[in-house]
Amino acid sequence: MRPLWALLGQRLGWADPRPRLRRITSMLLLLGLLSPGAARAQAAPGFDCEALYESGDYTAAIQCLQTLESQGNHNGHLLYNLGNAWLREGNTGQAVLAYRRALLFLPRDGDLRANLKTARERARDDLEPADVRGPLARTLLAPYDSLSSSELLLLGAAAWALCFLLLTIRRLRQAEGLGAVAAGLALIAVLGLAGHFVRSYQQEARPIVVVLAEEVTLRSGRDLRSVELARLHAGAELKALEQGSDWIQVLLSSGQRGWLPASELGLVRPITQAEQR
Amino acid sequence: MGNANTASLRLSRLPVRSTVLWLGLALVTLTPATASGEGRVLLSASRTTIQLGDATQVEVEIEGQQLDKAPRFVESENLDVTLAGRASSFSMTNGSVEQRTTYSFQVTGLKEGQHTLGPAEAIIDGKRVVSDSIRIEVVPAQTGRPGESRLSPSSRGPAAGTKSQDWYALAELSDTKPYVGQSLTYRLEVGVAVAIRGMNWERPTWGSLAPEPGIEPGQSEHPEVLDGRRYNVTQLVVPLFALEEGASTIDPSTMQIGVVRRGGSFLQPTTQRSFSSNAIDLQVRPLPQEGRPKGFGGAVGRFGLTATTDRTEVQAGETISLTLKLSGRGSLRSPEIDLKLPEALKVYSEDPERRVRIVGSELRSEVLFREAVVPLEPGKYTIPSVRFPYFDPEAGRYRVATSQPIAIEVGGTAVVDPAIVARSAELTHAKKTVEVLGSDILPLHTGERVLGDTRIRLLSPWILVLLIVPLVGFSGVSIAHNRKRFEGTSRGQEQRRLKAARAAMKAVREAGRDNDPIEAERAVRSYLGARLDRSADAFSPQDGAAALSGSGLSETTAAALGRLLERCEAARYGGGSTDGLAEDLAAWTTTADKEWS
Repeated sequence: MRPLWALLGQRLGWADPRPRLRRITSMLLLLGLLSPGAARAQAAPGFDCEALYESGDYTAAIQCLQTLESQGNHNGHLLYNLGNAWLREGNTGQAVLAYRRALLFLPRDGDLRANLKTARERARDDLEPADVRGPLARTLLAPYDSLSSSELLLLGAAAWALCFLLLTIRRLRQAEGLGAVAAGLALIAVLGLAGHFVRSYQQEARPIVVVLAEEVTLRSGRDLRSVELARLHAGAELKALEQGSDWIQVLLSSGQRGWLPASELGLVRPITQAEQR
Repeated sequence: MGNANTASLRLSRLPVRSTVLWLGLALVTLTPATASGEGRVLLSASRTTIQLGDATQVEVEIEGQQLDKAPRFVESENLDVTLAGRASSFSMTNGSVEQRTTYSFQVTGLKEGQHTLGPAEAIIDGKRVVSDSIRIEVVPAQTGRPGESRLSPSSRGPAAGTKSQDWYALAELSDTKPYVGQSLTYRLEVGVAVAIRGMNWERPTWGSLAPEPGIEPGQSEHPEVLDGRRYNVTQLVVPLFALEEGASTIDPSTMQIGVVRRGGSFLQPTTQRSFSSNAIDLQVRPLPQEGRPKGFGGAVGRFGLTATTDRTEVQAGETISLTLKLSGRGSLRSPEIDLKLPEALKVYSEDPERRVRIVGSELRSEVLFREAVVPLEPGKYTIPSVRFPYFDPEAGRYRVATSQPIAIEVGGTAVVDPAIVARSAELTHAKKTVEVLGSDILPLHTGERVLGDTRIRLLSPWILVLLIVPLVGFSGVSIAHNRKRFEGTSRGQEQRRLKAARAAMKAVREAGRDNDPIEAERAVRSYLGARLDRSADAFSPQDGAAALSGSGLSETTAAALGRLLERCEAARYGGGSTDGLAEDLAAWTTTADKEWS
């Protein structure tokens, strides 16, 4: 049986495709090495936030971790450590926010879920998080919920690439049996990419917000003269329905809607608003 | 007003059969007899200081008994006692029915001074029962002390905004010198002699007192004639308890009423008026340290403790229902009892059941502790006495309520029920619930994973490579594949020949322009080969004309080709002229192509 590169060369009309294939592979590798993520990973600063945390200087540890994040280190482990530091510092709202943000990166991390549970127990309001699913939805969407947005994208893209690779081989070798596998991969690709886009849309348009202030008043409108509907406390997790510059309309798990000052809330997104700007 | 005096006596081991008969024979057959029980008679007065000619309400409460007749008081020339009514209630405990009967008496002061009311006398199942007595103070008319006694409207506190005594408000506290933890009642009496619509009460601040949890204020209304005017009197009774020691003041209660205006308009038929009651000073006393018994949990009042079981003779593994009833005057907010049973008696506890109610100016509490006792081995056992220490504010000292011990006899053999065996195994191995000492968060995540950006975006190079390269590769292969397949078909071959013919025609024209007959002839032969799908290199003039005659060209054009090829041969081998040959070949090709098209 002739090798794949020979068949490819024959199809493309290249007498010897190996030099051209080598050049293409080298270019792809170079492209990967020059990507922004790889560049940042190699240029990571040498802060020793862990030592500050272990020494009990949680304020300094928080500053250290926030500096690392502002330098482009966006990952779940750093946000998990930040949540630990906030919790040790006694700031439940910031701790819940950091853990919820870390959950966007590490949805299957057991440590993270345990510490988030502890932080939620310290919150004063007996309020379920706004994005808790029912038993049936939780079961059906378990694969979706267990993957981060990046993982969904990677899964979709990899399935997409494999699907077309199989189709190419099928075209070259006239192998009819690969059609079912390719169809399965196409389905995974569609689900993965669609899941990524849905997740991204939710994080942008209707993110979860966490109350950061010790106490904040839920009002019926976007001004301080509006009727007071409820008092919420640090660590309460709500769903944002509408975002303004000064006020955010939120939905409680109890179904009640109201407006809260944006300055008293933290948005659960992979990167902070300041970095987004 | 001074303390609301009460008297009580205990009746020992009175049977409940008459009560059961009263409820019906069917209930008797279903209801086991109580193993032990105790009746109690309580005497209480809503006020112990009254004005001459005025009346106070006295209640006699009998628990667990049915009186043959209403209780009677010893006759007195100083107080007039009249039966005003009777109320009964029933409850089921351990399968036995308990009855509570309350008799209400109106007691009117006939002479000034300190008088003794009682004792009350009752005949129960032929037995004569006598209660303690209480002291009633009768003060002269119009000279009573505000805030304590029941007075005429003119002395019942301020009534702002009125020219006459159309309304009044009087506040009283059942005890102005309570101990910390003691229950007491705030009584607000509001009398209105005019027509009103609506009445609102603004609660005062309670000073060092706090509202009793779990019970709402009581409210009652009745008409009353005072100083010759008829008043509608509303009474509010708020249960409170002393929170912390020290002196404090209960602010006046403020009432707002809408007085109906004579000739008032439809839109504004009433005039709003407000008035206040008197303030009350109080001094909360600390509980004494001296004589404080072991296990004292802060209960203040006067309490009794009884123990009952549904049966006393069982087989091993069967369940005995044990009920400990703690009841009396005062509040039992979260009482605890210490029940120590022999090891052979396994006990399973239910949550205590708490009942609170207001009687007169007193708070009555009752807590039922229900225990399921399972004997594991046969034998004779005793459920021991249970102690409940409390502070008696009337006596000013600590007391201990004690239940009576109950003997039980367990028959049968060793426990065979699997559940009980399992429980016996628990006892054997003395397993205990894991004691949780504390909780903490999990430690930091360390290493290189803390650094770097793990986000993957749609425009990341790797994602673009994964999305685009396979797609482009597949497209390229597909195009090449399709092209090759197309070329294998007759239409593809036809298209290829046409393409070759066009290229040859182009070459003929160029050769014509360059006046290159050799090249022109070669191009014409290529053109013919493409058009005829055969090699035309070796065509002789005759062959060419013959081949073209059946290919769709006219005879004239075919003959012209023969002539042109002859001229080419002549030029090549015989030295013939080549002038205009190239142009002629190009012109012929154009003509032939038009005909073929």
